[in-house]
Amino acid sequence: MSRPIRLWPRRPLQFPRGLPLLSLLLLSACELTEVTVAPGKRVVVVHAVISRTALEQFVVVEYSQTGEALTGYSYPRIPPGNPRSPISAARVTIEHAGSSACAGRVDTLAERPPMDSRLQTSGTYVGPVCTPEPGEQILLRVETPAGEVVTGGTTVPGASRRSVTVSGRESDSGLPTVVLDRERDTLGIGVTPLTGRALQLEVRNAEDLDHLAFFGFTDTMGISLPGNLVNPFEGDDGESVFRAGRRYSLAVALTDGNYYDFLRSRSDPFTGRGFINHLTGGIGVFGSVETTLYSLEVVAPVDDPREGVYRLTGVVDTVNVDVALELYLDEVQPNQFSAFVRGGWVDGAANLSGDGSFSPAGEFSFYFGTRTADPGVMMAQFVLRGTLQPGGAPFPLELRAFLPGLRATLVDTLTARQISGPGTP
Amino acid sequence: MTQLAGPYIRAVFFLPAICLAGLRVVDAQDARVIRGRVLEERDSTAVPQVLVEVVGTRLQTLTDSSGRFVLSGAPRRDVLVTARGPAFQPDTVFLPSGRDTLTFYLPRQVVQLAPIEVRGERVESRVRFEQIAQPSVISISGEEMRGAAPVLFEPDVIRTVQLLPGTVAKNDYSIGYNVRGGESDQNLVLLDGVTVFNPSHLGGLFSTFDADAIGQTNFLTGGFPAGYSGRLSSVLDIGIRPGDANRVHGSTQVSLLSSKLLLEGPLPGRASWLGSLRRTYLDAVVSAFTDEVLPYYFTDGLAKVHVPTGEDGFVSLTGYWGRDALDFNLVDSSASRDRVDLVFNWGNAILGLASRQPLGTAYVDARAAVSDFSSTLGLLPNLARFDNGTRLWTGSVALEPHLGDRHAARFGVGVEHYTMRYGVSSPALNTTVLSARYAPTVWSAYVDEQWTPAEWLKLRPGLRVEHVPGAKFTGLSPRIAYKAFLTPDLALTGSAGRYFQPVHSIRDQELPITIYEFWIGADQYIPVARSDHLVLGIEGWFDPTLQFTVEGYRKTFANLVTPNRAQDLRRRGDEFIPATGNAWGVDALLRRHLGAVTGWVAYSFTKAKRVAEGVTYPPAHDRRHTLNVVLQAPGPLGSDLSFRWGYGSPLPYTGFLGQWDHRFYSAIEERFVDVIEEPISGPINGERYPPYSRLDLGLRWSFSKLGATWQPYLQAVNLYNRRNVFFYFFDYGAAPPTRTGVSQLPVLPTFGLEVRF
Repeated sequence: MSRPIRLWPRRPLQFPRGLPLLSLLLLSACELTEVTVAPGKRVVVVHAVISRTALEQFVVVEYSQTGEALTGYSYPRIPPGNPRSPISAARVTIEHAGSSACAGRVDTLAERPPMDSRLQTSGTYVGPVCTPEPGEQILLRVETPAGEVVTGGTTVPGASRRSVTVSGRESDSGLPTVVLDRERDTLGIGVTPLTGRALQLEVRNAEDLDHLAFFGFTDTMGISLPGNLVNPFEGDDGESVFRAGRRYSLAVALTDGNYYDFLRSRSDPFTGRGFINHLTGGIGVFGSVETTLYSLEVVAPVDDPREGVYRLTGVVDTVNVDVALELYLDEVQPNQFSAFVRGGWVDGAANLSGDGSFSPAGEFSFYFGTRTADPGVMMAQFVLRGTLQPGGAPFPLELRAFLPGLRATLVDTLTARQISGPGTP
Repeated sequence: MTQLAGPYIRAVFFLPAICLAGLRVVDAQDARVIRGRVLEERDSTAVPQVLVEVVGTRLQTLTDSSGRFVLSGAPRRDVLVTARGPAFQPDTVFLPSGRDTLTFYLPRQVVQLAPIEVRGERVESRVRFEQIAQPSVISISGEEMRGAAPVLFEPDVIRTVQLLPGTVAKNDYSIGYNVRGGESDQNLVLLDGVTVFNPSHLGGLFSTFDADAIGQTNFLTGGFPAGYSGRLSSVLDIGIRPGDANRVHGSTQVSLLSSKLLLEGPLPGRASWLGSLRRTYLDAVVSAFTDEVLPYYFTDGLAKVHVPTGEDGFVSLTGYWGRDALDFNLVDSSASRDRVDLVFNWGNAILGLASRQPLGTAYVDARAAVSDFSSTLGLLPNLARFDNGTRLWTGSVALEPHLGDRHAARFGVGVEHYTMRYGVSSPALNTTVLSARYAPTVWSAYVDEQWTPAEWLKLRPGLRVEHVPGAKFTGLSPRIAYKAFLTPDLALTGSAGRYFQPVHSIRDQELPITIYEFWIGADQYIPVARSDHLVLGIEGWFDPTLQFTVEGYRKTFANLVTPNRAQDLRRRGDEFIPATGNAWGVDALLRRHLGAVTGWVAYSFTKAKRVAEGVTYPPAHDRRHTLNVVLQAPGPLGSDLSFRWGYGSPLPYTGFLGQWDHRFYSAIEERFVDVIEEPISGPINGERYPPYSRLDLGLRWSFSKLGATWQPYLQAVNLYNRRNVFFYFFDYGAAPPTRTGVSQLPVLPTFGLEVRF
């Protein structure tokens, strides 16, 4: 019997699409009938991570889930969201036990109003806290109205030196932006701690913080990330961790031991054991971090005629627009691209990035948004559509703008022209 | 298949003609002497007491102890010669007038076959009952293993052991077993005397060793003599049989998911060889018929060369290699991107050399072996990898002097050198998460002596000393066993001893899912574990083939290790939490060795306890009652039926009292941005699953065709589809809170074909 010809790449067998034989082999276990069990035992859950760079500190105080009927929704982003079972009217204090300028001071945090209007409470206690020094020990105490007491302590980390290198070259100190050529460079992170247990490295799309490009932690105080790193579990054939034409926010956080244990441990789903808890009287974390933020711009060699810099000009709603679009094709999915947007834009100076795609006919769409100081709120969103004309010839671009406060979409036309790249003469 | 000294023609269609010729008196000038031999088809062992006769005459005789026969006065013409014996299929051969010698190769009748090697009319277990003071031992032959109980895909020594008294298998997927309250890493598995670290393939669904290659297996559940050490709870001593020294033959088996081939044959100088190869082929089937990829397969091979030396000695070399592989490509390579493959493979490799040589009136046994287990898991080649390797080099020498009829002694010395390494790293990220190495060496010496001071009493004292320099440990292990005959068929038995274990598995023994054990060795931070055994029992025989044993036992455990999840990776010495414990119980066995119906009924009562960090709890294998009924009998439609019904009382598990939201902190946004739910556990193993039971049935047919024996079989496990609980899931996020779960194997039919040629 001849083997069938394969016209597309092989994919791993995906459950439950697996063959009946495979089902027999590994998936033959059956699901048991669901039964009701008795309500569980209530435990106070506290999450607090003291950041030396934050203006305000916050502590989330909630109850565990016991199977009781609850209203409301458990927001993942806290603040401004709230937990599903917030504890209100708790007394939350942070005491400085060290010998620094804050020694002996006790800061009391106040409960912030809930974002969810269906709730009366937020369970989130915020307030300014005397900025602790590296090595200083601070103590948390939470007393609930029901009389439960949860305590914890953390030794605040601090670094004497931080370095970000690109292929071994130290990035210019003082400059917040790091430029990484994904084809040639390796990003190196290093910290020399005064006190501290581990490093947390976090890279997110600067324009869409929901998009986590990379998250890792190590207790070796240094880590290297090659620019061409691929996340093999995303997409059909992996996804580039660093995509040329994108801006990323890079956070290097030196953590204490409590937070490190909180990161690296989980309760086993079979035995329920494994999570390393350093709180007394409750479960969760009271840890601390010292964070340094960088802006990361990823570039790559350009070799496609469509890649390069385009200049966009025009008048939009009486505003003169003159921006440069620095466009790079994605290495994994060449019909996708990202681009930096720099210059004068509809709502002010722009220095950001966006994503786009090409159709088989050569039409492209490009999306980006501008933000306020609150990273979770988009101010305006813009869509550019047209057909690229390499070679420097001008071509029209349709702009659709979704501006806050406007009921209708603003539609206008800009003129674009490629000014550098393989496609220019 | 029966062979003549020369070419022959199947005689069946000649039978009527010859019979019609009638009987006639043979005078002296027409007489001849027919000589020959009767051998067992499987391994060419001689078969005594087989009736050989010339059809149509009164000429008949029995084979002697070497399987030979002589028929004097046979007529000088073409004749038919028939051989028939108990437990064998009869055979008739055409012997032309010009031939005077022939050899019969008789296949066994599977069900009525004596599954235990027979010495004269006594089974091996009976011989051991009479001659050896060793309680808590059960012998299983490869033949019995093949027919003992229906299994999912193929016979398996571990699956068979799980049906014996004193043994608990926590679930249908468990690769390990717990013996008399001990953990699964306390069981020593030996293949021709070589330690095997992880004797299973994926999920325990496939056997590690070809049952056709196994000669005899001894399973010691406690009180093992001074020659055994290194584990606290049991010894599974698997012997690979020598190959057939007379002719080349083999067998093959095709089942739903795998196939295997076994070949054996002679070598010059009475030597023999045996080789077995096996591979799953579901991945190939999937690729051939679909565009999908099933990334799992395993392959293994086993080989043995046996060379007799002199009159009474031998040298043998045994090797085994097996590999499970779960590999598939995630990202293809390109000019600017490295390839990424998800790779997960693991396997054993062993090589052992054994020699037994006479030295005057004594014997000298020498062994040297290497055993390796390795595994790799990662996103390769560079993104992330976890490597684990365990290797054992071992050598030993033992002397068995002849000290008269009332003493049988053995003096031995040995050395074991272990190397265990673990590494977790990411070359792409230029970081090493974990790098650990353990390398204990164990020096040992022992004396094991059986003394028969009176006809009714056998004593077996022993002493073992072990030295582990890296752990600054030297331990003395006294051992004593006795057998006191009340009657020739009834004896009181007992044993006591101390046992040490210098290697541990760091796998959480409370987890229901196991792929393999992760071995570490004793050093300055990790202690040598210890257990003391006391066994008292009674063994008797209702008749030469019906045996019963009842044994009570008590065991204590010290210096056990449990993983410390809060360990600081920068430090050595906090990786484990010490634990102690004990176990006591009663095991009973009723076993029929020969007859139309064979098998056994095994019952165990066990109570086990562990103490760690001031908390007392029952271990996950603390099953109070276990019952297994295993039978082989004639089945319907001319088949051989194998039957197993098993019952287990509830096993402990850790219940959950709720769940909490584990929130993830973003250093960029300086707030919590994500959440997963985590359970809040109750007391360790404070709850109990429902009881377990399962009925398995197998039917096997056998017929001869084209010079081979064909054995199609049909099997079904969990015939009444009981939903035995594997584990539970709890949801405290909804009102009311609920519990669901996953069950173990449902009703599962399988079929296959075995061919012997």
